[in-house]
Amino acid sequence: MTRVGKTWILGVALSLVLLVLIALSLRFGAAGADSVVIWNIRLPRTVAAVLVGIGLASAGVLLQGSLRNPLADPALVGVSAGAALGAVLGAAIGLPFNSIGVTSVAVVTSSLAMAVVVWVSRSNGRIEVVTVLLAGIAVSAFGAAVISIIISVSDLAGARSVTFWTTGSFALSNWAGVNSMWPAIVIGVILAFYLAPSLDLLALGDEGAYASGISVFRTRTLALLAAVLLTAAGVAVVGVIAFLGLVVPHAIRLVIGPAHRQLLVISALGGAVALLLADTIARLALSPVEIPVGSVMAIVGAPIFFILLGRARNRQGGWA
Amino acid sequence: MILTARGCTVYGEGEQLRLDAIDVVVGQGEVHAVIGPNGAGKSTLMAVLSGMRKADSGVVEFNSRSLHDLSVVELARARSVLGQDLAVTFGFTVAEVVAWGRAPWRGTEQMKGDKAAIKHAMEVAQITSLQNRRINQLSGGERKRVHIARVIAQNCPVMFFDEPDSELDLIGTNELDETLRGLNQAGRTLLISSHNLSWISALATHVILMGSQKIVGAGPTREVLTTGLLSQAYGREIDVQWTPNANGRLVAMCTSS
Repeated sequence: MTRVGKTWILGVALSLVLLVLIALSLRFGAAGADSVVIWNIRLPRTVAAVLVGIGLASAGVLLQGSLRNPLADPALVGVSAGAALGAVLGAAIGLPFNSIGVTSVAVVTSSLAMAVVVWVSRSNGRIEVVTVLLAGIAVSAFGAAVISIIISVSDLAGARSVTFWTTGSFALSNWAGVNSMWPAIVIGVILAFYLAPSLDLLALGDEGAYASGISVFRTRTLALLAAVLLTAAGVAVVGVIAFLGLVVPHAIRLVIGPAHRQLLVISALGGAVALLLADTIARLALSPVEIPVGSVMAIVGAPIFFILLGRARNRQGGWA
Repeated sequence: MILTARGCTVYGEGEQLRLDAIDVVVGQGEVHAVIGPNGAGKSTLMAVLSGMRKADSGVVEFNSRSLHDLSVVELARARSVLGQDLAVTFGFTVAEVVAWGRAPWRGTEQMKGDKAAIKHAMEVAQITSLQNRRINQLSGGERKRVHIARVIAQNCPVMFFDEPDSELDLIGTNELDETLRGLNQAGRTLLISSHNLSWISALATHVILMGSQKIVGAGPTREVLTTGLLSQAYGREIDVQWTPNANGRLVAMCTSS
Protein backbone atom coordinates (compact mmCIF):
# COMPACT_ATOMS: atom_id res chain seq x y z
CA MET A 1 0.00 0.00 0.00
CA THR A 2 1.21 3.51 -0.72
CA ARG A 3 2.17 5.89 2.04
CA VAL A 4 -0.76 8.12 1.13
CA GLY A 5 -3.18 5.21 1.55
CA LYS A 6 -1.66 4.26 4.89
CA THR A 7 -1.86 7.88 6.05
CA TRP A 8 -5.60 8.02 5.39
CA ILE A 9 -6.31 4.66 7.02
CA LEU A 10 -4.22 5.47 10.09
CA GLY A 11 -5.80 8.93 10.32
CA VAL A 12 -9.34 7.56 10.26
CA ALA A 13 -8.48 4.71 12.67
CA LEU A 14 -6.85 7.06 15.19
CA SER A 15 -9.80 9.47 14.98
CA LEU A 16 -12.20 6.65 15.81
CA VAL A 17 -10.05 5.45 18.71
CA LEU A 18 -9.86 9.04 19.96
CA LEU A 19 -13.65 9.34 19.96
CA VAL A 20 -13.99 6.09 21.92
CA LEU A 21 -11.35 7.23 24.43
CA ILE A 22 -13.06 10.60 24.89
CA ALA A 23 -16.31 8.79 25.61
CA LEU A 24 -14.56 6.49 28.11
CA SER A 25 -12.76 9.40 29.72
CA LEU A 26 -16.07 11.20 30.28
CA ARG A 27 -17.78 8.02 31.53
CA PHE A 28 -15.24 7.00 34.20
CA GLY A 29 -13.38 8.96 36.82
CA ALA A 30 -14.13 11.23 39.75
CA ALA A 31 -17.12 9.99 41.73
CA GLY A 32 -20.62 10.61 40.47
CA ALA A 33 -21.86 11.00 36.96
CA ASP A 34 -24.12 14.01 37.10
CA SER A 35 -23.77 16.69 34.47
CA VAL A 36 -21.90 19.05 36.82
CA VAL A 37 -19.12 16.50 37.41
CA ILE A 38 -18.88 15.72 33.69
CA TRP A 39 -18.97 19.36 32.60
CA ASN A 40 -16.70 20.86 35.26
CA ILE A 41 -14.24 18.04 36.01
CA ARG A 42 -14.11 15.31 33.39
CA LEU A 43 -14.60 17.32 30.22
CA PRO A 44 -11.86 19.92 30.91
CA ARG A 45 -9.55 17.14 31.99
CA THR A 46 -10.25 15.23 28.76
CA VAL A 47 -9.82 18.33 26.60
CA ALA A 48 -6.55 19.13 28.41
CA ALA A 49 -5.23 15.61 27.75
CA VAL A 50 -6.11 15.91 24.05
CA LEU A 51 -4.48 19.37 23.74
CA VAL A 52 -1.32 18.40 25.65
CA GLY A 53 -1.06 15.19 23.59
CA ILE A 54 -1.31 17.18 20.36
CA GLY A 55 1.22 19.69 21.68
CA LEU A 56 3.88 17.26 22.89
CA ALA A 57 3.70 14.96 19.85
CA SER A 58 3.88 17.91 17.43
CA ALA A 59 6.75 19.39 19.44
CA GLY A 60 8.56 16.05 19.15
CA VAL A 61 8.13 16.09 15.36
CA LEU A 62 9.44 19.67 15.17
CA LEU A 63 12.44 19.03 17.42
CA GLN A 64 13.41 15.81 15.63
CA GLY A 65 13.07 17.41 12.19
CA SER A 66 14.73 20.75 12.91
CA LEU A 67 17.63 19.28 14.94
CA ARG A 68 17.99 16.25 12.57
CA ASN A 69 17.88 14.24 15.78
CA PRO A 70 15.68 11.13 16.00
CA LEU A 71 16.12 11.08 19.80
CA ALA A 72 14.75 14.57 20.48
CA ASP A 73 11.78 14.95 22.86
CA PRO A 74 10.59 18.11 24.64
CA ALA A 75 11.38 16.69 28.08
CA LEU A 76 14.69 15.03 27.11
CA VAL A 77 16.09 18.25 25.61
CA GLY A 78 15.17 20.34 28.67
CA VAL A 79 12.38 22.44 27.11
CA SER A 80 9.75 20.97 29.44
CA ALA A 81 11.82 21.61 32.57
CA GLY A 82 12.34 25.19 31.41
CA ALA A 83 8.58 25.58 31.07
CA ALA A 84 7.85 24.02 34.49
CA LEU A 85 10.37 26.39 36.07
CA GLY A 86 8.62 29.33 34.43
CA ALA A 87 5.21 28.22 35.65
CA VAL A 88 6.47 27.94 39.26
CA LEU A 89 8.27 31.26 38.92
CA GLY A 90 5.10 32.89 37.59
CA ALA A 91 3.07 31.53 40.49
CA ALA A 92 5.74 32.64 42.98
CA ILE A 93 5.40 36.23 41.81
CA GLY A 94 1.67 36.03 42.37
CA LEU A 95 0.15 35.01 39.04
CA PRO A 96 -2.66 32.42 39.42
CA PHE A 97 -2.03 28.85 38.21
CA ASN A 98 -3.77 27.90 34.93
CA SER A 99 -3.67 31.49 33.72
CA ILE A 100 -2.33 33.01 30.49
CA GLY A 101 0.17 34.91 32.68
CA VAL A 102 1.78 31.74 34.01
CA THR A 103 1.78 30.22 30.51
CA SER A 104 3.56 33.31 29.16
CA VAL A 105 6.31 33.10 31.77
CA ALA A 106 6.64 29.39 30.97
CA VAL A 107 7.05 30.18 27.26
CA VAL A 108 9.84 32.65 28.05
CA THR A 109 11.84 30.34 30.35
CA SER A 110 11.27 27.40 28.02
CA SER A 111 12.69 29.45 25.11
CA LEU A 112 15.73 30.26 27.24
CA ALA A 113 16.24 26.56 28.02
CA MET A 114 15.97 25.72 24.31
CA ALA A 115 18.44 28.46 23.40
CA VAL A 116 20.96 27.25 26.01
CA VAL A 117 20.72 23.64 24.84
CA VAL A 118 21.12 24.52 21.16
CA TRP A 119 23.97 26.93 21.91
CA VAL A 120 25.88 24.36 23.98
CA SER A 121 25.39 21.62 21.36
CA ARG A 122 26.70 23.57 18.39
CA SER A 123 29.94 22.31 16.94
CA ASN A 124 31.28 23.25 13.50
CA GLY A 125 27.87 24.48 12.45
CA ARG A 126 26.18 21.19 13.42
CA ILE A 127 23.96 20.51 16.40
CA GLU A 128 25.27 17.26 17.84
CA VAL A 129 22.75 14.47 18.47
CA VAL A 130 24.10 13.31 21.83
CA THR A 131 25.22 16.65 23.20
CA VAL A 132 21.64 17.93 22.86
CA LEU A 133 20.49 15.16 25.22
CA LEU A 134 23.34 15.73 27.68
CA ALA A 135 22.65 19.46 27.73
CA GLY A 136 18.97 18.60 28.19
CA ILE A 137 19.80 16.54 31.30
CA ALA A 138 21.76 19.43 32.80
CA VAL A 139 19.04 21.98 32.04
CA SER A 140 16.37 19.65 33.45
CA ALA A 141 18.36 19.10 36.66
CA PHE A 142 18.88 22.83 37.00
CA GLY A 143 15.17 23.48 36.45
CA ALA A 144 14.11 20.86 38.99
CA ALA A 145 16.55 22.27 41.55
CA VAL A 146 15.25 25.81 41.20
CA ILE A 147 11.65 24.55 41.32
CA SER A 148 12.24 22.78 44.64
CA ILE A 149 13.99 25.84 46.08
CA ILE A 150 11.13 28.13 45.08
CA ILE A 151 8.54 25.71 46.44
CA SER A 152 10.44 25.32 49.75
CA VAL A 153 10.72 29.06 50.37
CA SER A 154 7.21 29.95 49.17
CA ASP A 155 3.76 28.68 50.11
CA LEU A 156 3.23 27.01 46.74
CA ALA A 157 3.73 23.46 48.05
CA GLY A 158 0.07 23.23 49.08
CA ALA A 159 -1.04 24.11 45.56
CA ARG A 160 1.33 21.92 43.52
CA SER A 161 4.12 19.69 44.82
CA VAL A 162 7.56 19.20 43.28
CA THR A 163 6.39 15.73 42.21
CA PHE A 164 3.47 17.25 40.31
CA TRP A 165 5.91 19.24 38.18
CA THR A 166 8.36 16.40 37.53
CA THR A 167 5.90 13.61 36.67
CA GLY A 168 2.88 15.43 35.32
CA SER A 169 -0.80 15.03 36.16
CA PHE A 170 -4.17 16.09 34.80
CA ALA A 171 -5.73 16.07 38.29
CA LEU A 172 -5.62 19.89 38.49
CA SER A 173 -6.78 20.57 34.91
CA ASN A 174 -9.88 22.74 34.72
CA TRP A 175 -11.46 25.08 32.17
CA ALA A 176 -9.06 27.86 33.17
CA GLY A 177 -6.18 25.53 32.38
CA VAL A 178 -7.68 24.64 28.98
CA ASN A 179 -8.19 28.33 28.19
CA SER A 180 -4.61 29.13 29.14
CA MET A 181 -3.15 26.53 26.79
CA TRP A 182 -5.23 26.35 23.62
CA PRO A 183 -4.15 29.65 22.00
CA ALA A 184 -0.43 28.74 22.12
CA ILE A 185 -1.14 25.21 20.91
CA VAL A 186 -3.24 26.44 17.99
CA ILE A 187 -0.50 28.93 16.97
CA GLY A 188 2.15 26.22 17.34
CA VAL A 189 0.26 23.72 15.19
CA ILE A 190 -0.38 26.29 12.43
CA LEU A 191 3.27 27.35 12.45
CA ALA A 192 4.38 23.71 12.35
CA PHE A 193 2.09 22.92 9.41
CA TYR A 194 3.45 25.94 7.52
CA LEU A 195 7.07 24.93 8.19
CA ALA A 196 6.63 21.22 7.43
CA PRO A 197 7.74 21.21 3.74
CA SER A 198 10.93 23.11 4.64
CA LEU A 199 11.61 20.72 7.54
CA ASP A 200 11.68 17.89 4.98
CA LEU A 201 14.62 19.52 3.20
CA LEU A 202 16.55 20.03 6.46
CA ALA A 203 17.11 16.25 6.27
CA LEU A 204 19.73 17.09 3.63
CA GLY A 205 21.78 18.96 6.22
CA ASP A 206 22.20 22.72 6.48
CA GLU A 207 24.27 23.11 3.30
CA GLY A 208 22.07 20.91 1.16
CA ALA A 209 18.93 22.65 2.41
CA TYR A 210 20.42 26.11 1.78
CA ALA A 211 21.53 25.10 -1.73
CA SER A 212 17.91 24.06 -2.37
CA GLY A 213 16.54 27.46 -1.41
CA ILE A 214 15.67 26.94 2.27
CA SER A 215 16.48 29.73 4.76
CA VAL A 216 17.95 27.33 7.27
CA PHE A 217 18.35 29.65 10.27
CA ARG A 218 14.85 31.09 9.90
CA THR A 219 13.24 27.66 9.45
CA ARG A 220 15.05 26.14 12.42
CA THR A 221 14.40 29.11 14.72
CA LEU A 222 10.67 29.17 13.91
CA ALA A 223 10.42 25.38 14.31
CA LEU A 224 12.10 25.51 17.72
CA LEU A 225 9.85 28.42 18.73
CA ALA A 226 6.76 26.44 17.69
CA ALA A 227 8.04 23.45 19.68
CA VAL A 228 8.49 25.70 22.72
CA LEU A 229 4.94 27.10 22.42
CA LEU A 230 3.45 23.62 22.01
CA THR A 231 5.37 22.27 25.00
CA ALA A 232 5.26 25.18 27.43
CA ALA A 233 1.49 25.74 27.12
CA GLY A 234 0.82 22.18 28.29
CA VAL A 235 3.58 21.88 30.87
CA ALA A 236 2.45 25.08 32.64
CA VAL A 237 -0.85 23.34 33.45
CA VAL A 238 0.00 19.63 33.79
CA GLY A 239 3.77 19.42 34.53
CA VAL A 240 6.48 17.52 32.67
CA ILE A 241 5.42 14.46 30.67
CA ALA A 242 8.41 12.78 29.03
CA PHE A 243 8.73 10.36 26.10
CA LEU A 244 5.37 11.05 24.44
CA GLY A 245 7.01 13.43 21.94
CA LEU A 246 9.63 10.77 21.23
CA VAL A 247 7.57 7.61 20.96
CA VAL A 248 4.52 8.83 19.03
CA PRO A 249 6.29 10.41 15.99
CA HIS A 250 8.57 7.35 15.79
CA ALA A 251 5.70 4.91 15.71
CA ILE A 252 3.84 7.01 13.12
CA ARG A 253 6.96 7.45 10.97
CA LEU A 254 7.37 3.65 10.79
CA VAL A 255 3.96 3.38 9.16
CA ILE A 256 3.54 6.47 6.96
CA GLY A 257 7.14 7.62 6.41
CA PRO A 258 8.91 10.82 7.51
CA ALA A 259 7.33 13.53 5.26
CA HIS A 260 6.50 16.24 7.78
CA ARG A 261 3.01 17.43 6.72
CA GLN A 262 1.48 14.00 7.08
CA LEU A 263 3.70 13.11 10.03
CA LEU A 264 2.54 16.20 11.94
CA VAL A 265 -1.16 15.65 11.42
CA ILE A 266 -1.12 11.96 12.24
CA SER A 267 1.31 12.39 15.16
CA ALA A 268 -0.94 15.08 16.65
CA LEU A 269 -3.83 12.62 16.50
CA GLY A 270 -1.62 9.84 17.86
CA GLY A 271 -0.39 12.10 20.68
CA ALA A 272 -3.96 12.86 21.74
CA VAL A 273 -4.83 9.14 21.68
CA ALA A 274 -1.69 8.10 23.59
CA LEU A 275 -2.06 10.70 26.33
CA LEU A 276 -5.77 10.16 26.80
CA LEU A 277 -5.11 6.42 27.02
CA ALA A 278 -2.29 7.01 29.52
CA ASP A 279 -4.52 9.26 31.63
CA THR A 280 -7.33 6.72 31.60
CA ILE A 281 -4.86 4.05 32.75
CA ALA A 282 -3.49 6.47 35.37
CA ARG A 283 -6.98 6.91 36.80
CA LEU A 284 -8.21 3.33 36.60
CA ALA A 285 -5.15 1.08 37.08
CA LEU A 286 -4.86 1.42 40.88
CA SER A 287 -8.29 3.00 41.45
CA PRO A 288 -9.25 4.70 43.73
CA VAL A 289 -5.60 5.86 43.94
CA GLU A 290 -4.55 7.89 40.90
CA ILE A 291 -1.00 7.45 39.57
CA PRO A 292 0.76 10.33 37.80
CA VAL A 293 0.19 10.20 34.05
CA GLY A 294 3.86 11.04 33.48
CA SER A 295 4.80 7.79 35.23
CA VAL A 296 2.58 5.80 32.89
CA MET A 297 4.21 7.45 29.84
CA ALA A 298 7.73 6.92 31.22
CA ILE A 299 7.17 3.22 31.94
CA VAL A 300 6.18 2.72 28.31
CA GLY A 301 8.52 5.31 26.82
CA ALA A 302 11.85 4.62 28.53
CA PRO A 303 12.31 1.09 27.09
CA ILE A 304 11.43 2.38 23.62
CA PHE A 305 13.98 5.18 24.06
CA PHE A 306 16.67 2.57 24.81
CA ILE A 307 15.88 0.74 21.59
CA LEU A 308 16.07 3.98 19.57
CA LEU A 309 19.27 5.00 21.35
CA GLY A 310 20.90 1.69 20.38
CA ARG A 311 19.84 2.14 16.76
CA ALA A 312 21.10 5.72 16.56
CA ARG A 313 24.42 4.66 18.07
CA ASN A 314 24.86 1.81 15.59
CA ARG A 315 24.13 4.17 12.71
CA GLN A 316 26.86 6.56 13.86
CA GLY A 317 29.37 3.80 14.61
CA GLY A 318 29.31 4.26 18.39
CA TRP A 319 30.00 7.25 20.60
CA ALA A 320 33.32 7.59 22.37
CA MET B 1 29.15 35.78 -19.24
CA ILE B 2 26.82 33.81 -17.01
CA LEU B 3 29.08 33.77 -13.95
CA THR B 4 31.98 36.04 -13.02
CA ALA B 5 34.09 36.55 -9.91
CA ARG B 6 36.38 39.52 -9.35
CA GLY B 7 39.00 39.83 -6.65
CA CYS B 8 37.46 37.23 -4.34
CA THR B 9 39.42 36.80 -1.13
CA VAL B 10 38.41 34.49 1.70
CA TYR B 11 39.91 34.08 5.14
CA GLY B 12 39.29 30.96 7.24
CA GLU B 13 39.59 30.53 10.98
CA GLY B 14 42.47 32.39 12.53
CA GLU B 15 42.76 34.78 9.56
CA GLN B 16 44.22 31.97 7.48
CA LEU B 17 44.10 32.86 3.77
CA ARG B 18 41.81 30.47 1.87
CA LEU B 19 41.39 32.32 -1.45
CA ASP B 20 43.68 35.08 -2.66
CA ALA B 21 42.06 37.68 -4.96
CA ILE B 22 40.56 35.22 -7.44
CA ASP B 23 39.07 36.21 -10.80
CA VAL B 24 36.89 33.74 -12.71
CA VAL B 25 34.90 34.10 -15.93
CA VAL B 26 32.44 31.39 -16.97
CA GLY B 27 30.53 31.59 -20.25
CA GLN B 28 27.09 30.14 -20.95
CA GLY B 29 27.28 26.47 -21.93
CA GLU B 30 30.87 25.94 -20.84
CA VAL B 31 32.11 23.08 -18.67
CA HIS B 32 34.68 24.26 -16.15
CA ALA B 33 36.84 21.84 -14.21
CA VAL B 34 38.20 23.12 -10.90
CA ILE B 35 41.36 21.16 -10.15
CA GLY B 36 44.45 21.36 -7.98
CA PRO B 37 46.13 19.64 -5.05
CA ASN B 38 44.44 19.14 -1.65
CA GLY B 39 44.24 22.37 0.31
CA ALA B 40 44.76 24.57 -2.77
CA GLY B 41 41.34 26.18 -2.30
CA LYS B 42 39.12 24.20 -4.72
CA SER B 43 36.28 23.68 -2.26
CA THR B 44 36.40 27.29 -1.07
CA LEU B 45 36.31 28.55 -4.67
CA MET B 46 33.34 26.29 -5.48
CA ALA B 47 31.57 27.50 -2.32
CA VAL B 48 32.15 31.18 -3.16
CA LEU B 49 31.11 30.83 -6.82
CA SER B 50 27.94 28.94 -5.85
CA GLY B 51 26.97 31.45 -3.18
CA MET B 52 27.28 28.88 -0.39
CA ARG B 53 29.86 31.09 1.26
CA LYS B 54 30.43 34.84 1.13
CA ALA B 55 33.86 36.10 0.11
CA ASP B 56 35.43 38.50 2.61
CA SER B 57 36.10 40.84 -0.29
CA GLY B 58 35.37 40.77 -4.01
CA VAL B 59 32.16 40.16 -5.90
CA VAL B 60 30.50 37.21 -7.66
CA GLU B 61 27.91 37.96 -10.34
CA PHE B 62 25.31 35.72 -11.96
CA ASN B 63 24.05 37.27 -15.23
CA SER B 64 25.52 40.61 -14.09
CA ARG B 65 23.65 40.53 -10.75
CA SER B 66 25.67 40.24 -7.56
CA LEU B 67 24.93 37.02 -5.65
CA HIS B 68 24.51 39.23 -2.56
CA ASP B 69 21.40 40.75 -4.12
CA LEU B 70 19.75 37.37 -4.72
CA SER B 71 17.50 35.83 -2.04
CA VAL B 72 18.11 32.24 -0.95
CA VAL B 73 15.29 31.12 -3.24
CA GLU B 74 16.43 33.21 -6.23
CA LEU B 75 19.89 31.73 -5.79
CA ALA B 76 18.41 28.22 -5.79
CA ARG B 77 16.69 29.00 -9.11
CA ALA B 78 19.99 30.21 -10.62
CA ARG B 79 22.31 27.39 -9.60
CA SER B 80 22.12 23.92 -8.12
CA VAL B 81 24.83 22.33 -5.98
CA LEU B 82 25.74 18.67 -5.60
CA GLY B 83 27.77 18.70 -2.38
CA GLN B 84 29.89 15.95 -0.87
CA ASP B 85 27.77 15.31 2.24
CA LEU B 86 24.85 13.34 0.84
CA ALA B 87 23.48 11.87 4.10
CA VAL B 88 19.69 12.10 4.52
CA THR B 89 18.09 11.80 7.97
CA PHE B 90 15.00 9.57 8.30
CA GLY B 91 13.71 7.07 5.74
CA PHE B 92 12.64 9.35 2.89
CA THR B 93 11.98 7.61 -0.43
CA VAL B 94 13.93 8.25 -3.61
CA ALA B 95 10.91 9.97 -5.18
CA GLU B 96 10.55 12.29 -2.16
CA VAL B 97 14.23 13.28 -2.24
CA VAL B 98 14.16 14.00 -5.99
CA ALA B 99 11.01 16.11 -5.51
CA TRP B 100 12.94 18.36 -3.08
CA GLY B 101 14.75 19.68 -6.14
CA ARG B 102 11.50 21.46 -6.99
CA ALA B 103 11.39 23.34 -3.66
CA PRO B 104 12.71 26.67 -5.08
CA TRP B 105 9.84 26.72 -7.61
CA ARG B 106 7.06 26.44 -5.02
CA GLY B 107 4.39 29.01 -5.68
CA THR B 108 5.58 29.88 -9.20
CA GLU B 109 4.24 29.10 -12.68
CA GLN B 110 6.96 26.43 -13.03
CA MET B 111 5.25 24.35 -10.32
CA LYS B 112 2.95 23.00 -13.05
CA GLY B 113 6.01 21.28 -14.50
CA ASP B 114 6.96 19.55 -11.22
CA LYS B 115 5.81 16.06 -12.18
CA ALA B 116 7.42 16.16 -15.62
CA ALA B 117 10.67 17.59 -14.22
CA ILE B 118 10.87 14.88 -11.53
CA LYS B 119 10.12 12.11 -14.02
CA HIS B 120 12.68 13.45 -16.50
CA ALA B 121 15.35 13.85 -13.80
CA MET B 122 14.87 10.27 -12.62
CA GLU B 123 15.16 8.99 -16.19
CA VAL B 124 18.33 10.98 -16.89
CA ALA B 125 19.93 9.72 -13.64
CA GLN B 126 18.63 6.19 -14.32
CA ILE B 127 16.87 5.75 -10.98
CA THR B 128 13.24 5.44 -12.11
CA SER B 129 13.16 1.81 -10.95
CA LEU B 130 14.37 2.84 -7.48
CA GLN B 131 11.78 5.56 -6.88
CA ASN B 132 9.83 3.80 -4.14
CA ARG B 133 12.90 2.56 -2.25
CA ARG B 134 14.17 4.32 0.85
CA ILE B 135 17.30 6.29 0.10
CA ASN B 136 19.07 4.94 3.22
CA GLN B 137 18.81 1.39 1.85
CA LEU B 138 20.66 2.16 -1.40
CA SER B 139 24.35 1.69 -2.21
CA GLY B 140 26.68 4.70 -2.28
CA GLY B 141 26.65 4.91 -6.07
CA GLU B 142 22.85 4.67 -6.26
CA ARG B 143 22.48 7.31 -3.56
CA LYS B 144 24.70 9.66 -5.54
CA ARG B 145 22.51 9.16 -8.61
CA VAL B 146 19.44 10.07 -6.54
CA HIS B 147 21.04 13.37 -5.52
CA ILE B 148 22.11 14.02 -9.10
CA ALA B 149 18.47 13.53 -10.10
CA ARG B 150 17.50 15.98 -7.35
CA VAL B 151 19.77 18.74 -8.69
CA ILE B 152 18.62 18.02 -12.25
CA ALA B 153 14.99 18.47 -11.13
CA GLN B 154 16.01 21.85 -9.68
CA ASN B 155 16.37 22.93 -13.32
CA CYS B 156 19.03 25.65 -12.95
CA PRO B 157 21.12 27.16 -15.77
CA VAL B 158 24.32 26.71 -13.74
CA MET B 159 25.15 23.45 -11.94
CA PHE B 160 27.94 22.85 -9.42
CA PHE B 161 29.33 19.36 -8.76
CA ASP B 162 31.80 19.06 -5.87
CA GLU B 163 33.93 15.96 -6.50
CA PRO B 164 31.01 14.02 -7.99
CA ASP B 165 33.27 11.11 -9.00
CA SER B 166 34.62 10.41 -5.50
CA GLU B 167 33.69 6.86 -4.42
CA LEU B 168 32.69 5.91 -7.98
CA ASP B 169 34.38 3.06 -9.85
CA LEU B 170 35.32 3.13 -13.54
CA ILE B 171 31.81 2.24 -14.71
CA GLY B 172 30.20 4.66 -12.28
CA THR B 173 32.45 7.47 -13.45
CA ASN B 174 31.61 6.68 -17.07
CA GLU B 175 27.86 6.83 -16.33
CA LEU B 176 28.40 10.13 -14.49
CA ASP B 177 30.32 11.39 -17.51
CA GLU B 178 27.41 10.56 -19.84
CA THR B 179 24.91 12.25 -17.53
CA LEU B 180 27.00 15.42 -17.27
CA ARG B 181 27.56 15.54 -21.05
CA GLY B 182 23.81 15.22 -21.55
CA LEU B 183 23.18 18.12 -19.18
CA ASN B 184 25.75 20.24 -20.99
CA GLN B 185 24.24 19.41 -24.39
CA ALA B 186 20.87 20.52 -22.98
CA GLY B 187 22.45 23.94 -22.44
CA ARG B 188 23.54 23.79 -18.80
CA THR B 189 26.73 25.46 -17.65
CA LEU B 190 28.70 23.09 -15.42
CA LEU B 191 31.40 23.64 -12.78
CA ILE B 192 32.99 20.42 -11.57
CA SER B 193 35.74 19.93 -9.04
CA SER B 194 37.67 16.67 -9.18
CA HIS B 195 40.98 14.95 -8.51
CA ASN B 196 40.59 12.74 -11.57
CA LEU B 197 42.56 14.71 -14.18
CA SER B 198 42.25 12.02 -16.82
CA TRP B 199 38.44 11.96 -16.64
CA ILE B 200 37.93 15.70 -16.35
CA SER B 201 40.38 16.54 -19.16
CA ALA B 202 38.08 14.84 -21.68
CA LEU B 203 34.90 16.41 -20.30
CA ALA B 204 35.83 20.02 -19.53
CA THR B 205 35.94 22.80 -22.10
CA HIS B 206 37.84 24.97 -19.59
CA VAL B 207 40.03 24.40 -16.58
CA ILE B 208 40.57 26.49 -13.44
CA LEU B 209 43.85 25.22 -11.99
CA MET B 210 44.34 26.09 -8.32
CA GLY B 211 47.62 26.13 -6.40
CA SER B 212 48.11 27.49 -2.88
CA GLN B 213 44.98 29.68 -2.70
CA LYS B 214 45.58 31.27 -6.14
CA ILE B 215 44.64 30.50 -9.71
CA VAL B 216 47.73 29.11 -11.42
CA GLY B 217 46.06 28.88 -14.79
CA ALA B 218 42.58 29.32 -16.26
CA GLY B 219 41.35 28.92 -19.81
CA PRO B 220 40.66 26.29 -22.48
CA THR B 221 41.52 22.80 -21.25
CA ARG B 222 44.54 22.11 -23.49
CA GLU B 223 46.10 25.48 -22.72
CA VAL B 224 46.00 24.96 -18.96
CA LEU B 225 46.79 21.27 -18.61
CA THR B 226 50.47 21.65 -19.49
CA THR B 227 53.62 20.35 -17.88
CA GLY B 228 54.62 23.84 -16.78
CA LEU B 229 51.35 24.91 -15.13
CA LEU B 230 50.56 21.53 -13.54
CA SER B 231 54.08 21.31 -12.11
CA GLN B 232 53.68 24.80 -10.69
CA ALA B 233 50.29 24.03 -9.12
CA TYR B 234 51.28 20.69 -7.57
CA GLY B 235 54.81 21.74 -6.63
CA ARG B 236 56.31 18.66 -8.31
CA GLU B 237 57.71 17.85 -11.73
CA ILE B 238 54.71 16.49 -13.62
CA ASP B 239 54.96 14.78 -16.97
CA VAL B 240 51.93 15.34 -19.23
CA GLN B 241 50.85 13.29 -22.23
CA TRP B 242 47.61 13.16 -24.21
CA THR B 243 46.08 9.99 -25.61
CA PRO B 244 46.09 10.19 -29.41
CA ASN B 245 42.38 9.64 -30.14
CA ALA B 246 40.13 12.51 -31.22
CA ASN B 247 38.60 13.06 -27.78
CA GLY B 248 41.99 12.85 -26.09
CA ARG B 249 42.58 12.38 -22.40
CA LEU B 250 45.36 13.63 -20.23
CA VAL B 251 47.78 11.19 -18.67
CA ALA B 252 49.72 12.93 -15.91
CA MET B 253 52.34 11.49 -13.61
CA CYS B 254 54.84 12.76 -11.12
CA THR B 255 58.40 12.36 -12.33
CA SER B 256 60.15 13.52 -9.15
CA SER B 257 59.33 13.33 -5.48
